[in-house]
Amino acid sequence: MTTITTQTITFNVFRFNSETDYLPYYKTIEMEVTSEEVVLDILNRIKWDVDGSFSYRRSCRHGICGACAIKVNGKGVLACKERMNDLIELFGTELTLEPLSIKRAVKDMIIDKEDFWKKHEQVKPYLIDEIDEHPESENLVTPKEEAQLLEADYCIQCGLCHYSCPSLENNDSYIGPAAFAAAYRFNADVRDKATLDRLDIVNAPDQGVWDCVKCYECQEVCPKEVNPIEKITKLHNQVFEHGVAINNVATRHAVGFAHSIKKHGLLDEAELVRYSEGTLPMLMKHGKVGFKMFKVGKVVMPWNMPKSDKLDEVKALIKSSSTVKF
Amino acid sequence: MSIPIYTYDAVIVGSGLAGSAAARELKLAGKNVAVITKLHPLRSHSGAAQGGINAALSDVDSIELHEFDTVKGADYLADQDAVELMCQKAPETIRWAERMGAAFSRTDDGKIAQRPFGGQSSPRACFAKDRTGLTLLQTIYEQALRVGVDFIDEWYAADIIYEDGKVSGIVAFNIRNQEKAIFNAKAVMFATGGYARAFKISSNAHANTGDGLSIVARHGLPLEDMEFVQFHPSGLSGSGILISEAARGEGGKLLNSEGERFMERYAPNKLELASRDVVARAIINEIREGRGVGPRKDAVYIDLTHLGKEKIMERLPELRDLAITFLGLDMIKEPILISATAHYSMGGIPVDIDGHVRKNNDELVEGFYAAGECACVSVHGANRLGANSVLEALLFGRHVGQSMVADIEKLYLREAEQSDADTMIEEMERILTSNGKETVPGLRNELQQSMTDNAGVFRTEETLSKQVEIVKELRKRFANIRIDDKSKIFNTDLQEAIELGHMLDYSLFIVESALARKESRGAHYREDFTTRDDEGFMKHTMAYMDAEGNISLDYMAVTPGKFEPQERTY
Amino acid sequence: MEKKLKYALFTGCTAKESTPEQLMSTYAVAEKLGIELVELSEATCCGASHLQDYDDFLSLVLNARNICYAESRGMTMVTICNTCQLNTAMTKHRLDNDPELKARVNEKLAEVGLEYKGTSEITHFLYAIIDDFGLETLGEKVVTPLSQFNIAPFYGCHNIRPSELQNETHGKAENPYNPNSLDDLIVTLGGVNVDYEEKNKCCGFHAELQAPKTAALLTGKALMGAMDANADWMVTPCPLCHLKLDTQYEHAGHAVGRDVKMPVLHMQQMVGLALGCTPAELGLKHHVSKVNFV
Repeated sequence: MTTITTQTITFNVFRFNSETDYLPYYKTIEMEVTSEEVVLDILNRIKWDVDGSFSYRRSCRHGICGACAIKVNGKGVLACKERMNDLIELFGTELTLEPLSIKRAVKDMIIDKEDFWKKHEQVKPYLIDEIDEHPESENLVTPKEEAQLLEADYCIQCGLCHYSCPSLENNDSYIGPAAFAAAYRFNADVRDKATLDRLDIVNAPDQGVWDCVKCYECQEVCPKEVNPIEKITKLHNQVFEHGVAINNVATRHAVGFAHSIKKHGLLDEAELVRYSEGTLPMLMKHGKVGFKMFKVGKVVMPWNMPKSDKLDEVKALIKSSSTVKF
Repeated sequence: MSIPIYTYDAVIVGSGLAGSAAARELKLAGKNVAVITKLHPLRSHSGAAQGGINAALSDVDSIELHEFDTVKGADYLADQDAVELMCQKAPETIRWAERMGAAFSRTDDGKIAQRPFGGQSSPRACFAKDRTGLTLLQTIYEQALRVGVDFIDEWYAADIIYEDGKVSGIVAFNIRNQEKAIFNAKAVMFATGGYARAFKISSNAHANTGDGLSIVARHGLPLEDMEFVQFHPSGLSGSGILISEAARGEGGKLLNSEGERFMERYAPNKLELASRDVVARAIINEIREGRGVGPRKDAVYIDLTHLGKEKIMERLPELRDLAITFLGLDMIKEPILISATAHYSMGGIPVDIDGHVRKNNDELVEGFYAAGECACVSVHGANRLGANSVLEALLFGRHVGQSMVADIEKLYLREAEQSDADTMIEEMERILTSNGKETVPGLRNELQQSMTDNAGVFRTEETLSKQVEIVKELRKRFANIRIDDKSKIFNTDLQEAIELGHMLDYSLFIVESALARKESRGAHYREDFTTRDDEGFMKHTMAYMDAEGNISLDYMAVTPGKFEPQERTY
Repeated sequence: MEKKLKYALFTGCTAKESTPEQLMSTYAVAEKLGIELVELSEATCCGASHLQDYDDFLSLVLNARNICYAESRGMTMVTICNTCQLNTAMTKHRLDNDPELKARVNEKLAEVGLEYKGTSEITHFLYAIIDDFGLETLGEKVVTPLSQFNIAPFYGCHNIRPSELQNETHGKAENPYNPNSLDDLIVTLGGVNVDYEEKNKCCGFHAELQAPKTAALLTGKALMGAMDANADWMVTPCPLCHLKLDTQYEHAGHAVGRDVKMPVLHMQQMVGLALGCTPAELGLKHHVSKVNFV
């Protein structure tokens, strides 16, 4: 940082006061922005220099308290940690400031986050063990065991992944990436005694990890590199490792890949659906689409199913490298 | 319209380490307790603590050494009974936090790892990478949640109910919609955090407006040692955002514009690891003498490049990230720009060793407690040692919680009345309807800038007298403000105005107390009285504000102990 | 062209089964551009990020094996499916950055006489065209500019996220919040690129069976977004997105409460059209949502 540069930026600012406004609106504000500034500096300047009624949450101003998450041009950002220059480089000189979730907006950038905290509490986000209130020694935890948390303890509950998750956006029951990361954080802790309880919660249909659409939005948006989808994958793995997988469409769908690969090397798409759903439900749910696909040559008949070369090799590897059973 | 009155055994204001730890103790003892916070508990500033939490855990260390370092660091203004309690209970407290789930960094054999920090005889700071406060805050909140503590978030506690030497509750409003309520209780605890937000260059959160202090002071109760504000040596240039002492603990070198490792001149033995006040003054002195660096020449370098990528990523990843975000500088590749930043409040609400708030030198307030940064117990005296603040908050938070449990049986519930809310309602009405010309951001900026200029690292009779007048003038002008937002929903405009009122009030305590202390001790450095004067000032300042806003000063003896005052060198 | 581009083609499963038109058009385009593709006939399914949920280690071994066959041919691996790209590139990333894991995987591979070395790069055909062949050169080869079409790019998650990983695998960084590769490609081919909110969002494919409601809503919103932006058709580099958008319009339309059927082309088909390939070469008849404009 040897010189400080300045640019003129046009901000379209989402404004809404649930007490007085029927609908939200956008106010256009033009400002000189310096290369030193982060998004929170802009929010502060709007409030302090332009309109005192502009409202947003903020506290620590250096990326550790998680209060100030908003969206800029649809990108979830922690306002105090997002450099203006990076956003300008990405989106140009016209930027739209919006709350994390417009449908939950209460006042300007402030949303009702009740659903977030409820989901958080749902996964029992605390170490479950009998606590020695006057210990004379600590638990011994090796650095390697500590590293198993995979930085999940770094989550600051900012809600960026939660409100960027398309599964959650379309399914209110889904627990969501932040809470799953918390579930993983305690399940991965060698001191915790409630792994199976939490697996019951994250393994349940509709709310659990199986509804993840694998879009990687949570990893992308996380300002602390918690990588929630990595933890979601680990929770999937734990379900099998601990032998608590329920025999249902979701688990069979995952296991079905192993079966198919063993048989063909490649995935037998039709068989995967049949194995996951069961023959009759498959026909009922997918029969119509399946027939349309068949008509345009999109369905491979079992006798024409392609196979990988050197299939023996694949079979040998599946035998030697499998780590779980279903 | 009548205001609902909710009744509890205990009400705690503030949900950081101290508040949450106390609440958990009360809940475990079967008491009906509520924690009120103007944020969400996990936004509390305890979570921002980076470098560590002290305890004499290792074989090469001892509790007595921890006590000695703390008392010496405090420049002998600490109360030694409180220091003794803290240092003795530190190992148990850290192990207790570990048992509750804190994710400490570990040694190869699985024990809690420790690192060196400034002013310490031994590597004593237990840590979780460079996010120690975060893991502690999350842990204590999680375990408080687990036992069913009632957290009432985004409520603003605006007043205490204080009468006849007894506190019997608080008055608050819901920030979401301005719903007002009285929380009537046998015992009230303040854990409202520090007041360094009064300064322009500050490491503190926006929320650290020190409201708790002036809420207390407005009832004629004293504030102790308010002149002692710690300026941390390493705030990022421009913003003042903290770069933990861990950066120096891990081996960071301070360099001026001539490339000189200037601490060799100021603290030849301890160098960068001298106590914070010493290093902060050295930095400001280098800048004042023209050896500053950076685009504004208002910083010095801290060079960590010799640590190498691996160590920085393992021990200081958060700090690296901060320097990249706020300076665009990567500490793996280049030195970064730092300068002193207002960081920690040694002074605060005076309490005895068990957290009872003092009414004066001799009497205690009934049913009123304080712990954490808002309180002055005093373990930090004139200068706090690094990694002692999270310790104090967690340890005294818990200790005071236990003391409340013990007291509650003896305390009676004085029933609250509607009129108890009058002061808060008047304050809100006054601000909402005031139609003057002054703005909150304008006045706040003048306050913060002038406090940094006149009551900062270096102080003189002249600057402090000037600042007394400035603060008085700003208090007058505050009566003439106007806010834009008149609505009820998340009216943060109103909240900022109330907070500014508090900042103006306690700032007067800071400067009046500093003006009267004609010596240099710890963080309080007078260029016109450069030495410590044990004869005249080995005592705590007790400051009171009258109804007209005039400050009167009294002094209270320091509790002595096994360590006799000596000259402090590093 | 001074140097002929040559890749080891990892077809993935879908191109061999439910999107034959994608494989056809890949070869048609490669031929027009003089790119040589050597099919990795030994390759298995990448696990599609579902095998990974069941048995992470097994999926690593299988993906490493696939990469071994690109390495043994001394070629860069080219994928034509976003999910294959993700799982293969992620395997490479994890093995290249974790010597211990690499050793564990190689221990298994050694049993069948293979070794993962990390010598082959992995790229998606879209980026092979853009980064290696070059848009400028491609532009020169256009014989039928797509100038009469408003085309909605649909990027598909696994080519753009996680960006950290994907930016390791191709030259120009693509930002998932404002991706441009497919847009640039459309413009190069003379088409008009349509901007809409869902272009970098999820189609829902991977939750089709487990969470049909969510999946249908996501597909419906994507199709609706493109439609409302006046697109004539959509284009995607991912056969899984294609399957979802091309065949599931009925469920999707039901979920969002309106008819959302519209033609969706594979990226290769779009390129092929501009390069003068015939509809038959591009397999346009293999679509459920009819491609009715050629």
